[in-house]
Amino acid sequence: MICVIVRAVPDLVEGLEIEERDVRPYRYIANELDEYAVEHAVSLKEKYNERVEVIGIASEDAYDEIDESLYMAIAKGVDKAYKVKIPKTTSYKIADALSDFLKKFDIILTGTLAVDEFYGVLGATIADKLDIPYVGGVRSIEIEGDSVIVKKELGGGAYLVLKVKKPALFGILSLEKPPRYVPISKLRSVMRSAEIEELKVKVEEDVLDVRFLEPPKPEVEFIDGDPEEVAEKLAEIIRGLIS
Amino acid sequence: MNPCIQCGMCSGSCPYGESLDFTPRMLVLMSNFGEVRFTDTIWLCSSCYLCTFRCPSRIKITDEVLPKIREIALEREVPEELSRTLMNIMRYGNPFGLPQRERVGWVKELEFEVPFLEDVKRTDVLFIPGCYGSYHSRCREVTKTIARLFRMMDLDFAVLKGERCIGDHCRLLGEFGLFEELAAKNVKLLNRYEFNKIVTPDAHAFNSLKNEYPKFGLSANVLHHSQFFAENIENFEFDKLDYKVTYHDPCFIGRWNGDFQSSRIILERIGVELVEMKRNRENALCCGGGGGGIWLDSLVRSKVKERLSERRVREAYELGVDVIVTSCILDIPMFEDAIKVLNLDVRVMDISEIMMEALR
Repeated sequence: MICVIVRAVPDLVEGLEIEERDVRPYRYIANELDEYAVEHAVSLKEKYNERVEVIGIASEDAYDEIDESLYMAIAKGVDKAYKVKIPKTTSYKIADALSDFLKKFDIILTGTLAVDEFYGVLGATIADKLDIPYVGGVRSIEIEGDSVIVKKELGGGAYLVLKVKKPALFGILSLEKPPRYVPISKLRSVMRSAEIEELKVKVEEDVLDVRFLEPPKPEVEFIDGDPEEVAEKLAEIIRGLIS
Repeated sequence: MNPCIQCGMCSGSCPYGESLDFTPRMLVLMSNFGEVRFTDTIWLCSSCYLCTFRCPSRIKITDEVLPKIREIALEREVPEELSRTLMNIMRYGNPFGLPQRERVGWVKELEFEVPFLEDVKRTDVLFIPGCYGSYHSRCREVTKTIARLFRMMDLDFAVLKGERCIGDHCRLLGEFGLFEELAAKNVKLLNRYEFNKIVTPDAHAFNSLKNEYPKFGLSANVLHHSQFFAENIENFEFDKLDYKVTYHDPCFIGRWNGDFQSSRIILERIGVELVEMKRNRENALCCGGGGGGIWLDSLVRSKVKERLSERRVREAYELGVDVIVTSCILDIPMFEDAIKVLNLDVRVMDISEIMMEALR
């Protein structure tokens, strides 16, 4: 059985309000790499007939907005969706809270990292908690008996092929084929018929200290004129920098 | 069942006919027998309406037969560039994935204020620039030019902050659910305010607002900007421009909505030398941007030797013109990109831009 962890993150298109001790997004959206993980899970279902479940985790203010992504996952072929409310805390506490629920799955997928913090530790922390192997940066998964064969990206076009014993947790980085498209009529009919089960777990709060340190404003000079003039002035500046 | 006589006029007319795995004639035949077969060349159709226009049995190939097959194709494999675009429209109300508040960003680039209909509640002309006119940097120049011309006419006009994608491409791509949602949202917003007419420079938005939105409860007088300016041409005094130009008939204004005259009236009034391309008026060649074509550049490239936009600018260039004039906002990026690809020396101008140039 496969589980995908999908986390709500700020929608960077709509922007953020940055205050001294807080970051307030205008809107939330599912983390893109987590949605890639859903794609991989649905492919595994199609190929190996595995049952796929998805768990959405969201803070209080993103709790409703995660629904769309979960319904989208069901429309793509996921068998069941859960969601859980998580206060603003660290990945370590999220791992503590979810490990009981995640015990029963033999393949767990999530995005390698999320756009809000770029820590890339949630997957590894959960794997550590469950005492199972973790591989991040994954771009393809195949099941072979009680093992999983994954390709991990190494950069520069190279990748590493790993054979991992189940149960294991994988952090997804990319897709092998474009994501499926869910027509809106299908999405709406799933929203009417399917249900998302709310999971109640105890999450401990953790010290999270956000501070906005405004970077010093760089000196900016605009060079006007026709291209030749601009190039001349620019070349002069660069000459000054390298001499 | 369609009264198809299998004459093949549609396939022979299709500008991408030779690149299609299943031609329109085959698609109509199969749809009559309830069979659905397609390959990814189903996405090549740029909704130019040539097949529909020439069909002796008047079968709605572009509006019905093809979108219905595409609706099924959408649930199977969709080109990545298309699925991302549709997701953007679903999430943000525009194909670019840009925030809604940026839609009226162009207003700030003008030297005067443009009122928002949400604030003033009533206006004479509601100006709908459409997604390209609102977000695309080159098309925004056209939008600003039109606003300036309105200003010169002392026109009472306003724009909507809450305008969303009008959705004509979604409809023709077979994403009917998305089109219906967009139409319902837009009509709900439009019906809240009072205005005498809608003017839009987007030929595709014009088509949907005029022909499809009434089904969703909109009853408004919808004009394309070329029609509006042709009607009000007496308001402008032009200096004669010493240009040799050709006019590209946008499919959705010319062939599909029967207006071949408005832009030509304006050009005649400006006094430029107008030469016609071999394929003009109802036989005009499409720019390739409609029906989602503007978002499928890589797919089209992989399937055809020469894109429609490239064929069209070459056709114009061979006439030795200085300017290709068009009145559909999508043509501008389509043609300018093609000119860069072919390395030609010819300008592309919207009808409003050539008006503005003649005014100075």
